[in-house]
Amino acid sequence: MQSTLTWPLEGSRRAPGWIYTDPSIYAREQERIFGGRSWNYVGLTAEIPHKGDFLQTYVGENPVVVVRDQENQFRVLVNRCTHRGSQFCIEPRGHVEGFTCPYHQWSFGLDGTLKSVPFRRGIRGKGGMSECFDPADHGLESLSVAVRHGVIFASYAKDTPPLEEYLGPTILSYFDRVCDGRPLQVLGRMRHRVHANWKLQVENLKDTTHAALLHAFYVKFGIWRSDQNTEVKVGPGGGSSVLVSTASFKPVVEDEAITPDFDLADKRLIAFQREFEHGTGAILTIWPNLIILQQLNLLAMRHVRPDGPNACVKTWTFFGYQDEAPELRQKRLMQANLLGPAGLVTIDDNEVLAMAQDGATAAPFANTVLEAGKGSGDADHLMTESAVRAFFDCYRGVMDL
Amino acid sequence: MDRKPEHRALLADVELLYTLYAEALDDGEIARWPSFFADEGALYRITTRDNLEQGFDLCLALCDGQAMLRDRAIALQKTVMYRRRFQRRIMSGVRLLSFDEGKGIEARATFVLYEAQGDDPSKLIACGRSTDVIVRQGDELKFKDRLCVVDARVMPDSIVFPL
Repeated sequence: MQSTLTWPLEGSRRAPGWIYTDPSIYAREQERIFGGRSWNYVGLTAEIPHKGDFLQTYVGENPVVVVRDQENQFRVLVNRCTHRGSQFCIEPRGHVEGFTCPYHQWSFGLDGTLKSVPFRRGIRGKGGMSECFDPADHGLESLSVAVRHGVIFASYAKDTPPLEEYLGPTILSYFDRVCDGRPLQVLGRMRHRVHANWKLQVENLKDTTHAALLHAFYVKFGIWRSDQNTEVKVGPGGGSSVLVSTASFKPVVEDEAITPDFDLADKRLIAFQREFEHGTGAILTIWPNLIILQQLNLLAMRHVRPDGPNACVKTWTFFGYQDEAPELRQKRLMQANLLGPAGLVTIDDNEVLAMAQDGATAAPFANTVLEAGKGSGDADHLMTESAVRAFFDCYRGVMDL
Repeated sequence: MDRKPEHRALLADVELLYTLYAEALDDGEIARWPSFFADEGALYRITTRDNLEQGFDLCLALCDGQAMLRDRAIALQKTVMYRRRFQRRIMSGVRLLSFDEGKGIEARATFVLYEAQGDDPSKLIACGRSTDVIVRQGDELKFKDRLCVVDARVMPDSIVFPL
């Protein structure tokens, strides 16, 4: 059996199984991708609307706290006390004046600066911190932050290119299509573990062909079909891409039917109201692990948190716009039946991704095949795996593979 | 808990409804699932404590009326792809909060769903409590409003079949 981790000679038209299973690859991803020059989605400004509001999330697998400080600036602080390394923040969200670690009561400001240390001068002149201890040296680790139209990103690197440059004009235009500066309103969250490597989950949203083959629900009701208008657009470096599609809503014709016939008795499940200029869906994947979903009237930030080589945790933050019509809001809530852990479409993906992970585990030195279409660029049809190849172009560069 | 004999008899009827509901789903009879709900104005929802605490309306599953219950049941049989699984629901701690059959009986219960798939032993899929409104329709009790609130923030896997 082969034992070295060398990328196949075919380049990004192949992907080896070990990228989904190998612990050393996983560790390198944490360091180079999530810990490197990438913009990691951490939340929406609407989730922390007031000074002192915070929420917990992850950059890669590392827990961080996203906080709106006293100057209305967004801070992303590593949830690790600089004293003994405990997680100082134990609530998933809330409102605070500052953070105090429960272990030894080290207190930090909303900006991460160390404010006070108990027994700094000891007790009755005995003990306490050494002469050379300077609180200024022991603030919380703070990440670089980028905010655009209510969406917050963080980076461990100090020299990550500006978000707009990182996304490039095309991807940025699709980002702005959904997040156009109108105040967003969170409608709720779904979270579930997917028993597959985080990349398989991200690749799934760059894989144009599976939707019309696997997702019988979409096919059946004309939401995503192989004969509809679809475009693939790839951002700079290949890491980010968007799939734009136009649903026909035409009922499936007899000879195409892959399932016994039935029609929805209650059409509210997919009743759609046009919101955006062209296409009925634009599924954006932003390097490394954010999916911005706009499908029918569903809007969601899908954050894919790596959870060891063999699993990831997906958080769906569903949102709409403040002051939108109640009818539109109701459509979003109803269509959410398609997505998430009990989603009539997402269940398909959860299953096949777990099966793909099992395949990689069984045969880490076998390659997956990405031969549909050519190259790693834009396409005006969906019979191509160019966005997946582009993802691997980017991945191999960052990972030096 | 009210100790009147008629209330005890009603509790026994409600417990039987939960038992039959769980049994039908555990036996894989998803097609029968809508029949446990009232003909008029039935509502079925799954949400999480996390969403509920924050006042979010979003549900993990939402069926408003018999037609939508049947659409979900049919989609699960005909369009959704999943590996075969074997489920076991445990419903316990049933308590009645109100006894008015005219307005609907309010009941609370604890639910646990285990699922076996492939060669793995049954694993926990969901654990939580339901708040239900139950009405009498003919000779039978039916769910008018079933709200399942899952304790966990992160579901360990898909919730393929209803809770």
